[in-house]
Amino acid sequence: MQTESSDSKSAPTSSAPKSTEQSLYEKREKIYPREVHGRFAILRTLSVVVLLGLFFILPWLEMGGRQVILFDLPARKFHVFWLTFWPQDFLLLAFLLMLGAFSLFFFTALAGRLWCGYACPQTVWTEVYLWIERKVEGSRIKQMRLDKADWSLNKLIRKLIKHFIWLLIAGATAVTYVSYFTPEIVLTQKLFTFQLGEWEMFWIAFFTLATYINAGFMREQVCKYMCPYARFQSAMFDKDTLIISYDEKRGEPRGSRRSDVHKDYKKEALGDCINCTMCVQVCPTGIDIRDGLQYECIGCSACIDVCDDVMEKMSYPKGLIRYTTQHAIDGEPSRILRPRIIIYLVILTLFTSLFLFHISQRTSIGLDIIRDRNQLYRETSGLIENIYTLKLINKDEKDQTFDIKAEGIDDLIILVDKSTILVEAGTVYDLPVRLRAKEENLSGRSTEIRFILSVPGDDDLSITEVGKFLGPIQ
Amino acid sequence: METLARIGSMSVAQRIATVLWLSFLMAGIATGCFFSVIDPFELQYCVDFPEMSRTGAYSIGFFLFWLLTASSSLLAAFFIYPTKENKPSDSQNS
Repeated sequence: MQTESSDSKSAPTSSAPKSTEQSLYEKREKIYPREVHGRFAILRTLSVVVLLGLFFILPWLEMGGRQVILFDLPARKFHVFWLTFWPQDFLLLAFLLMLGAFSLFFFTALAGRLWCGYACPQTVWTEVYLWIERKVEGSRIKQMRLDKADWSLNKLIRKLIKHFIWLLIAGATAVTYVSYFTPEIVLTQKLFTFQLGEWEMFWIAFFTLATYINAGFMREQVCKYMCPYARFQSAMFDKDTLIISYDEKRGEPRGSRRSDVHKDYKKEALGDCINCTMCVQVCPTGIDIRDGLQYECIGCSACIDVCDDVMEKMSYPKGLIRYTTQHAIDGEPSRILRPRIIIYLVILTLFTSLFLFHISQRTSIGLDIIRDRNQLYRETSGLIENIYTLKLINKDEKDQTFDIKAEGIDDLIILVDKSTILVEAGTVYDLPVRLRAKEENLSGRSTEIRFILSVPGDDDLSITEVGKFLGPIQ
Repeated sequence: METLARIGSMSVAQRIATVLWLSFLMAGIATGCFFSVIDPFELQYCVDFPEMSRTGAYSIGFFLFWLLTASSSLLAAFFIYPTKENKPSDSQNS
């Protein structure tokens, strides 16, 4: 680990020669990550299986006759389990995004790039694609040989099979993704009978291509060049953040050793690192963890697993590369609870409470007031008249009869064309309404009025919206 | 200046990715915000618009937003190059 503070790790030092800066942007050479086995590899595989499982299974689950999770864009309604969200609930989405952002900040400050290493779709799909690549083309060495070799029937067949399976997975991913936004059952029926809408087909093709390119070819470049989080995550790091680090004090001076001295290597003034370069070979982003913390490191911990294996074979203690903190490496105590963590926690709690409060306060009815655009007001039989279109929203699962009142001006007359206002379940009803008032009762050019929407027989269910009543200039 | 030197040494692929990808993200956010307030069906009353499904309107809306954000990114990427007056070599002491 270099002695410079962890805060400056992503910025290249100004004294670095020009050539190293240039090399960051050289034509990319394909990285062939070696297969890893170990504690963290198991954890990551588990995470991949669970997340992919959820992604692929959820659109098939039904509850009360509809998909459990369906962001029904064509109908402008989001169904999440028993909750239905309307465009009017937009504020909730904002809360949710803030919650997501601050959770990310919190976990990053606490334990580094957990998201990148275990949960990011880019990691999850790349893992799957790498697994297929290994099954079809063989180990790292075999893949490198195959790529270097001249075209042969064997190479052609293996490449064809690989790309075919990759495309198949990309297609399945795209269909599943689109089914979160269009009802799945309908979609699959349409899919197999070739009756998809043109836009659904377009988006399936779009996401197939995106998955295939991102997981098959872009891989670590997405993290290095495209991911905004990868660029700013270092701002959340401090010396108590859990990072994957090489223990320089223990490992250096690194070097290979003869088998007869490997027990007594300390006499030869050698550190624990045998310079086998396994940590470099397994790295999906192609970096050397021994150069210190780098922004390319996605925290996948493959180097920990492989180095522990090597240490075990050499009968050295494990953990030459391990999850640790900058403070621990410097021999200082690490703190978990620190101002940064507490601030993130407070903000997280605040947004969670606001989110839950907002959900609990939602009513099953809604009201929007739209003024008539053509005329500000008109005079009829000595009265001033304003025309409105009221949008009556019934968010409930059953039909609802509404009652509408208006107040705010003395002797205000409300004229509605219909005697009973019945709004079907889960629909919006446009109701034209005319209000009439005496000119002397108006408080100015614009008077505040209130529309009260209620449900007869249910005293708790009523909402009030404020609108304007316009009259002549006085 | 260091940033400018780095931008100057970016590969073409990375420049394209920067312009297109970041504007893609922003276009996504803009589309989400815009269409959560405005229903494309209501828009059809006000504007003379060919008839289409909501999914179609969202998609076209998204691409129009993307065009807009990508143009902005492209111009930013172009204008970030130093002009004659403030070339890195001329402002060593700054």
